[in-house]
Amino acid sequence: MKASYQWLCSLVPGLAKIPACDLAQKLTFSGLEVEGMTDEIFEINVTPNRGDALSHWGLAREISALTGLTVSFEVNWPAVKSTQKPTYSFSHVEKLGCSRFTTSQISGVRVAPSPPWLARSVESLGVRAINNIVDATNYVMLLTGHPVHAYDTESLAGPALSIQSVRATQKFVTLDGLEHTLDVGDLVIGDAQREVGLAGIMGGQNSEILATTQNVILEVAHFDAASIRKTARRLGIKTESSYRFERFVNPETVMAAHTILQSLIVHVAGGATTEILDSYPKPWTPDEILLKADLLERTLGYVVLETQVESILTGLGCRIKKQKNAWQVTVPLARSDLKRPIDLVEEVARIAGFDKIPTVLPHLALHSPRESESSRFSFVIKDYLVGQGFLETVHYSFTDADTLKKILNTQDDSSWLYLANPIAEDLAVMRPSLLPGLLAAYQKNQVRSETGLRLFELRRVYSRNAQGQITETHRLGFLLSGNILGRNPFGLSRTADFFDAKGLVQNILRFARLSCQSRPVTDWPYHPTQALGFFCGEKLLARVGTLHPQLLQSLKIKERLCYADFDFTTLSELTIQKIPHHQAVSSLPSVYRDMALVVAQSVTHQNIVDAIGDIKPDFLSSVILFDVYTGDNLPAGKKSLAYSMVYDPKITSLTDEQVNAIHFELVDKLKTRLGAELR
Amino acid sequence: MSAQILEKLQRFHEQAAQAIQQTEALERLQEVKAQFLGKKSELTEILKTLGALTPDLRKEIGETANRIKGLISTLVEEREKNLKQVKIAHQLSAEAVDVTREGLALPLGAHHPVMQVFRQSRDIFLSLGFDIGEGPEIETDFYNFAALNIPKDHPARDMQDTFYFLDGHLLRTHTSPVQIRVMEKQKPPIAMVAPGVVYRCDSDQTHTPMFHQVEGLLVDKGIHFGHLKAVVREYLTRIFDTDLQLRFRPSFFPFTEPSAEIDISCVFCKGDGCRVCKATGWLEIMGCGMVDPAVFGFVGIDPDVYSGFAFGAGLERITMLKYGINDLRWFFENDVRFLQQFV
Repeated sequence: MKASYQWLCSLVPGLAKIPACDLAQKLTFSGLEVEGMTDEIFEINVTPNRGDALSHWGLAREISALTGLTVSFEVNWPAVKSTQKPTYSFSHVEKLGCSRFTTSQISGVRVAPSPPWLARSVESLGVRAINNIVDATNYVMLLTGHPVHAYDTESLAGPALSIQSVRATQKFVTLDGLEHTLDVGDLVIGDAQREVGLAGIMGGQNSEILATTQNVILEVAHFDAASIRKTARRLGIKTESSYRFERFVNPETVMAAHTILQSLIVHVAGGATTEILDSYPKPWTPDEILLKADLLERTLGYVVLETQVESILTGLGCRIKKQKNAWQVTVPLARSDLKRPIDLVEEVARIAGFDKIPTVLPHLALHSPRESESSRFSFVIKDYLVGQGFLETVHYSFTDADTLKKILNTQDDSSWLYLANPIAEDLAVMRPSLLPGLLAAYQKNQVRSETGLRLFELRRVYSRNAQGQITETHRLGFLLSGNILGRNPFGLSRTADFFDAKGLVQNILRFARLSCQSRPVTDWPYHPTQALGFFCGEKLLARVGTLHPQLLQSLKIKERLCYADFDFTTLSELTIQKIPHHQAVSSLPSVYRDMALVVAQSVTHQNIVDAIGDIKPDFLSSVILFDVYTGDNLPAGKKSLAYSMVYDPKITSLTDEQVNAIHFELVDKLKTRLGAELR
Repeated sequence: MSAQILEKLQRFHEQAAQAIQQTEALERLQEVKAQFLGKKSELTEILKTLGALTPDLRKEIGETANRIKGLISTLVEEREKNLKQVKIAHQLSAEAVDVTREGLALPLGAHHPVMQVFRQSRDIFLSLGFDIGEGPEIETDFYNFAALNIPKDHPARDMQDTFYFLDGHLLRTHTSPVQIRVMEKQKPPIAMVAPGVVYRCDSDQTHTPMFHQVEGLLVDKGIHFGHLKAVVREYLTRIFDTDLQLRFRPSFFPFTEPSAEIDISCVFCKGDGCRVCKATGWLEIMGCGMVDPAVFGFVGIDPDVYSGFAFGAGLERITMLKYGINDLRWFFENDVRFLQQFV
C-alpha cells in the first residue's frame, strides 16, 4: 500500500522533524514494513491483521504510538452545514452483514476535473484522477480508510435505497463495464427497482457519476468482512474498497468520514447538502481484555517495566485500569486485531523492541532424538551413490501427462493425481514414477557429457491405490550410461551395462542387510531379456535393467541406458540393523581350483550356483565366476562359464588329493544335473 | 718354502680383490665369493698343506691366511652392499612416472546443493536434541490451514497461493502441518523440526512452484521468546558457518503471536552493503514467533501451562546465499555442470 510522507506530516504536527528515511525505519521495525520509497511515497507491506493501517489516519495513529506525537484530524477546507431536506431514505436490515449505513445527498454539484492538489494527492498514491466527485471519494478512502461511494441521484429510482441479499442468480454490470453473475447471498445496494451497487466492492455502471451529474447520493457504510471477501473472490474482483472491507473497516468512524466527504465535495464541486442519515442499530462496543503481567513475562522472558507497558498501551489508544499485577484494557475499535491478552503482549513486544529480549538457550532434558528409518537410511544410500560417482537430481513433483503416458507406455491414468489448478499445462499431474524426471535430465545433459552419466533421485511418487486412497511412497531411482571413466591414457573403457547397474543394486540391498531372491522380470520400461527383480518374500523391492529399445527409440536416445527403481519405503521398513557376527578366520591355507563348464546357452549362472549349493561340497567357501565365453571353439548352442572355487579347511590342512576328490565329485554331479562338460 | 706360500697367499689376495672389484652383478658376486672363500677355493687348498709345516711356520702362515680370508670377506660384503645400492638406484630411476598426470578413480558424485543444506539443517537440529518429523505432502485443508489458525475466507490465505486437487486435498504450502500432526499425538515437551518439500502456485525469478523448507517447533513449560532467539541464532550461525548479527522485525503469521521476521547481517559484505543485500547490510532469512494459543487449542495443549515457539526457513534461499547462486531455477534444471560444482 502506498502512503505519502507529506500527507502524514500534515496529520501529525512535528513529524517533519523526522526525515522520511528514519520514519520508514521506525515503521518497519514496528511491524509495518516499508519495502521501498520513491519521492517520499512509501510502499508499505501491510500484513492481513493490520486493517487499521490501510489509511493515512491509521498510519498516523501508529506513528503517534511510536513517537508520542499527537494526531490532528482537522482538514484544511471549511465544514458544511446542511441546508437541504433529504429526498431519499434508507432501509437497513442489520442482519444482512451491514453494521452501519450512512447516506446523504448533495444537490447542485458541478462535475469537473479536480483541482491540482486533489488530483495530485490521489495520483501520487497510484489512483487515477477522474473527476472531482470520484477523486473526492478516493481521497476520503485514502485518508480515513473508509471506502465510500457516490451515486448519480437521477439514475436511481426513488425514494429509498436498501441493502439486499441477492435471491436468485442475475447479471450485474459494474462501473468498469464488466458483467458479473451474482449468486444467492451476495450483498447489493438497490433502489426501488434494481441493483445499483455491489456492496462494499464496486458501484454499478447504471448509477455512476457522469459529466452531467448534478445531484449525488453518498454512501459510507460498514460491511461484514467475510461476506465481502466471499463475493469478491468468487467474482474475481479486487478493489481498494473490497481490499479494505476484507481486512477491517472501523464502524465507529463512518460518520466522521462521511462528514469529511461531504465537506470536500462541496469544496471542490459546490452544491448544498442534506444532513447525514445514520443507521447504526447495534453499535459496536470496544473489547475489554485483562492483561496479566505474568503473561508478558512468560511470553517474552523478561520483565517489561509497568510504566513502559502502560505508556505503550495508552499510546495505541487503549484505556487502562490498573489492577494487581494486571491491567483491564479497553481496546480501540480501530484495532480489530486486538482480541486476546496475547495480542496485547505482541503490541508491547513490538513497540518495546524485540532486541530488548535477552537471548538465552532453553533447557531440554537429554534424550535420543527420533528420526524415521527411511530418513536415516536415505543418507546412507545417498552417500554410497555419491561415492560411486552419481549426481543427485531434484525434479518437480508434477509433470506432463502426455509425456508420462509415452514414457510409461500406458493410457490408463486412473490412478494418477491431477491438479485442479496447475501452474502450467505440462505440470498438471503428480508423478507416479521417477523415470520421466531422470530421463529428462539425461536428455538435457547427454550432449555435454563425455564421461557417461550417473544420476539418481530419492524422493516421493504419488498415486491413488486400489482402494482409492492417496498414497505417497519414497522411491529411489538411478540411471547410468556411457563410459564413466571417460577418455584416459590407460585404454580403460567400460560402457555401463546391465551388470554395472545390478552390482549397485546388490550393494544397496547389502547395506539394508536383506536377503532377497531375484528373478528375471519382463515388464515395462525394461528390456524384457535384460531385467531383474529383487523380492523379499512376495514384496518387490527393486527392479534393475536396461531400458526397452522401443522407449529409447521413441525418445531418440541412441545409447544404452540402465535404470534401477526401488520401493524405498518398503526397503526402509525391512532394513535390519543387524550386527555382523564374527566368523573365525582360519590360519589354515585356502585351496583354489578352477573349473570351466561348458553348458547349454539356456543354463544360467544361477542354475549352476543353485546346483552347487544343493550338492554342498565339503569345505567349499566361495564360487566366483571369472570368465564367460561363447565362440567358435565351442559346439553350437553352448557357452563356457569358468568358476574359481575356494576350499577352506577347518581343522587340518587339506592335501591336494583330498581337494581333487571333492572337486571332481562336484564336477561329476554338475555333469549329471546340468549336462555340464569340463572344458 | 714358507716364502713361496706367503707369496701365493699374497697373489691370491690380489686376485680376489680384483675379481670382487670387477663383479657387477650380485649373483656373480656370490659365485666369486664361493670361488675364493668356499670349500673348493685355493685358500682352502693352501690351508690343507699347513699340516706338513713346522708349528712355528704353521702358526705364521695360518695367521696370514686367516687375515687374508677376513680381508676378502670384508671386500665381498662391501661390494655386495655397493651392488645392492646401485641396483636400487637403478630401479628408482627406471620406475619414474610423470606424477603430474591425472589420477585414475571413479569421478566423485555430488549431493544436490539444496539437499546438502537440508541434511546440514537436519544434523544441526538433531545435535541440539530435536526430533525429525515427516508428514504427507498431499494434505487436507484442516492440517494446512484451519489448525494453523488460518480459517477459510480469511485474507491470510492470500499469503500463500495453493495447489488443489479436485477432491479438496491440496499440496502443503508449508511444513507446519507436520507440527500439528506431532502435537496431536505427543504431549510436551516437544522439540522437532520438519524439513520437506512444499508447494505454492507461484513462478518467477525468485519463486518456484516447488521448494524446500525446514520448520521447527519447541513446546514445553516456560518456553519464551528469548529461547526462540537463541535457537535460531544457533541454527543460522552454524548453517552459514560464520558469526552473524541477527535482528528481529515484528511481523504477522496467523499461527504465531508475537511474530517476527529475522534478518541476518549480509554474508557477503558482512554488513558494509553490497548488491546482494541491496546496500542495506541485511538479508531477510526466515520467520518465527511464539505459537498462537489458538493453534494449541486445535491440538489440545493447554496454553496456560505450556508455551512454545515455531520458526520456518526456506532452504533454497539459504542455499543460494551460502553458495552464491544467483537464480533459483538452477536448482530444478539438473544441469550436470551445475550439480558437479557441489562435490
